[in-house]
Amino acid sequence: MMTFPQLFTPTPSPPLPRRLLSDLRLDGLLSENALSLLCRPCGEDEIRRRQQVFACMEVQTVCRAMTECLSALEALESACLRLNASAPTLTLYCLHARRLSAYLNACELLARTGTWGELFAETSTYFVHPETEQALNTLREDLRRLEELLLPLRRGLLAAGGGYRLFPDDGAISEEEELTACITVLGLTPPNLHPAAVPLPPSLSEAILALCPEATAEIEEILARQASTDFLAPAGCIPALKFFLEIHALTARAEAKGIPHTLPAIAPKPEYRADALFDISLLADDHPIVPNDARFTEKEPFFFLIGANGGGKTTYLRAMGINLLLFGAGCPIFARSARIYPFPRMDAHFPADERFTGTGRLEDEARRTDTMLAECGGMTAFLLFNETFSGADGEIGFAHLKRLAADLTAAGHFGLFVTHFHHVTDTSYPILTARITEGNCRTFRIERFRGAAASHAADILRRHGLDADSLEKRRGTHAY
Amino acid sequence: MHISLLHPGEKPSPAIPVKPDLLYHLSLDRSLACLCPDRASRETLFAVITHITAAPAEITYRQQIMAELLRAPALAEALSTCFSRFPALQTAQKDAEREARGVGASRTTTVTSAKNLLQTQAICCQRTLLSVADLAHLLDQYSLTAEGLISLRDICRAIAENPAHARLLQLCRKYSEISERELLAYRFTLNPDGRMVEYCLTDRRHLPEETQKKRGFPLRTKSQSRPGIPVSPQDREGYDSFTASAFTTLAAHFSSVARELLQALVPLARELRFYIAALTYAAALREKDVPLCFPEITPQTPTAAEGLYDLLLLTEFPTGRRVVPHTVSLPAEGGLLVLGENGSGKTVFLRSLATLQLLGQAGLPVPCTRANLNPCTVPALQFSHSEAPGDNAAGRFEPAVRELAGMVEGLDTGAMVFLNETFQSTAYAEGAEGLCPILRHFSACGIRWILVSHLKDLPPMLSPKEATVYRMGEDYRISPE
Repeated sequence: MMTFPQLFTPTPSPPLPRRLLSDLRLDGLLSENALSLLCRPCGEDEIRRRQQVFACMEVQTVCRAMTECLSALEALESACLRLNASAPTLTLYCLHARRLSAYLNACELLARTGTWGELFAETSTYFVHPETEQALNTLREDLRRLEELLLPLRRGLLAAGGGYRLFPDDGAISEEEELTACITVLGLTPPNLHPAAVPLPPSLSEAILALCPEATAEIEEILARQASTDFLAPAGCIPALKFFLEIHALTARAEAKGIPHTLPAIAPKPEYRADALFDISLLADDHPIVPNDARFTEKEPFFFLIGANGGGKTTYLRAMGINLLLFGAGCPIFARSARIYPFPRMDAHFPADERFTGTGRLEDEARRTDTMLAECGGMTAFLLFNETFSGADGEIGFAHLKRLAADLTAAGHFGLFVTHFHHVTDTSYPILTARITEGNCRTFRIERFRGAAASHAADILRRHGLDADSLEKRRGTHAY
Repeated sequence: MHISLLHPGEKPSPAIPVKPDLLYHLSLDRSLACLCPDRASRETLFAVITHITAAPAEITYRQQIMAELLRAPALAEALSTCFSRFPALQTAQKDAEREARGVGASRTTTVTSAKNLLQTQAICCQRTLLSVADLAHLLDQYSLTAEGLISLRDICRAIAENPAHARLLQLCRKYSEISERELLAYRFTLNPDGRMVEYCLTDRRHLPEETQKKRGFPLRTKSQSRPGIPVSPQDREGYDSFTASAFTTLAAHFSSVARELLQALVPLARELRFYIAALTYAAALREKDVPLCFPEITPQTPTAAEGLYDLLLLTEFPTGRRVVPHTVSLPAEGGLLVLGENGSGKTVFLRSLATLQLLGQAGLPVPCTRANLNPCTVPALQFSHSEAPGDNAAGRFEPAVRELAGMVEGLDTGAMVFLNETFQSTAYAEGAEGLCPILRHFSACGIRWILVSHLKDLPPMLSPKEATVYRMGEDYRISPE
């Protein structure tokens, strides 16, 4: 039989660091399977192929069929794992038949995936190949015969009294059945017993097989014919199907909260444009999520983002990062519309816990940012920085920040740098800010900076009643 | 399966809880203690009286059974003997079931312990099935007229005459004598995964016949071993565990039969105790030459009685001749106000009427020559009583007000309120004025009320629709004012 095609082929670019997904708060939102696939950004063609699948999944019947297919594959995987060589021979025969049945069922469902886009076309084509068809027909006939042969072997009578002797069961009624019938006839309720299945004793297995030597020989013959079949091969589709279904479920969950999703257009040259971009990591918190736009182009590839604490700066950064990750894995993103370049590399720098040895925070952050840049290895990357160098003395931290921005833009990378260094407004880089209304209300809207940066220090002072107005009122009350 | 001597149908009608203080003020505890001296029997009587019913069908159901047992005291005795076996059987069955749980939980269950369990359950089941047949046979000997006893007979007969009953008994006998050393046949089934899902006993006749072989001369026969494949003894422990499991499974079936039948039968023993106690009560009253009658249940017409006696007074005299009986009809609308001087017998009258209502709704016969009973949904009572230690300066007035407030809050159409000298405290001259709106409220809400009082100002305050006024004469008899 031909080699079974795989749905997801390994991507050439190195995987993204796993901590990136934790920093973007995706751990609680997606399974490890989905996260590991998000760590491997795809090329343009693969993104297009996956987007086709997600587009197909907008039709409910496709989703249902995919779920059914996944269940069948998981059943196959489980059937393969249960085949344990130490089990009695008859149990092994039964498990072989179960595996074969699960395999044929999975193949049948996978053969119907041809309409789910190019990605599944190869899988579907595999099943219409004459060689595969013939092999599957033989397996179907084998299964039918196996089940026919095993059925009488799964029942029998044992005579106990000075040793055990085995007899074929020609329809004996058990005392339990007779009692149940009598109880029911009398209008009473028979006990509802569910005995657990227990392993078959090897000696009984041997006796049963000895009772039916012809059937045993034929079963052995059938199983020998199947020795070269790789039954587990279709189970290789499980991670991909799980991934598609999980991301689809996430879009449905977001949609229920009024959050749109879109399959972004693939930009031919580096850019990241999106209208109404949502931070989906907030979905679990049940808070309203405010969308924001993104305009990162070759002309303006790098922005600083400043603003009041709690104004939505980190949320914006996460929205950028999460949606870029999703796009890179061929998934729909949470925005109204978008046009994105498949950046071969992305990374983020978030403050780490103070667990440095031998160095301080500043040195550690400088080392980490240098490593980030080095790991880009000539690829155009999209890099995110959240309050990097914020722990350093104002002037030193700002100097590091300026150097990093210069290095980053010189290397042609894209990026977003969230900071509370308001001096960045004096640099030539474009600035974004978290908007605050005149009444000092947070809007969680991110917009281009037009001067007069909001004072996060004043905000903190007001919250604690230490701003000028509050202090004046206090004085009035206490009348010094 | 549902059988009850107290409730017809599958579900009992909602029980009306009667507050203990009501029984106390009516002195029912004292009077019944005299009439029914056996404490255990009296307790079963109280258990029913404190949970009366307003369902006419249920009251009639009990009256019929009671009447049947009064007519045939031997039946009551025979039933009592028959039912007395059920609790002991149930205890044995439950003990065996408890043991079965222990056997089931143990990983080292031996075939012998499982066999013993099977035998016990088979015997329990057999005895229970035979008890049902005995009960059917006993009831067949009487020409029954009570619906409850007829349905009990029919249910038992339906079980006892069913061929399944006979077959179950056969199986019980077979397995009560089982020995693990005899030849036993088992049927096993494997699931599609090749694991054992069934290992149960089957009749030996399902095994192939043993062949007989003639040998030599003179003619001698020697049995030849059965055909089939010998199974290696290497997994002996496994087979023992299967055998134990097959025994316990079968035991569970026998247990379920006994359990379900006994669950239905055991309460009958308790219910019968109520009737036995009632028979004692009836016999004591008959001994005093007091007439007894089952009130006719008349939900559309008010409660009425002719020659109604007060139970407490009856207990104080050897015969009923020294007690003055009352004849009264409650009004169709509003309440009944009975006025009278101190010691004129107002309280006795009220007590006998309330007792009629309670005992009648419990399905018991009452001491009177004839009675109609309109069942009430809730009986309530307010008796003047001594000052409680916690009462405030308002003396007895405020507690009474609190009690009435509770009634106004909690009672609805169909309830019946018995009021004895309410607001009698002389410190509150405005008692009548205070009571009048309450009585009007009761009447307006369809709450029936009977008030015995010396508040002479009350009658002019109430319209004839709101209250019918009677007066207690010097001869302890009441008459319309």
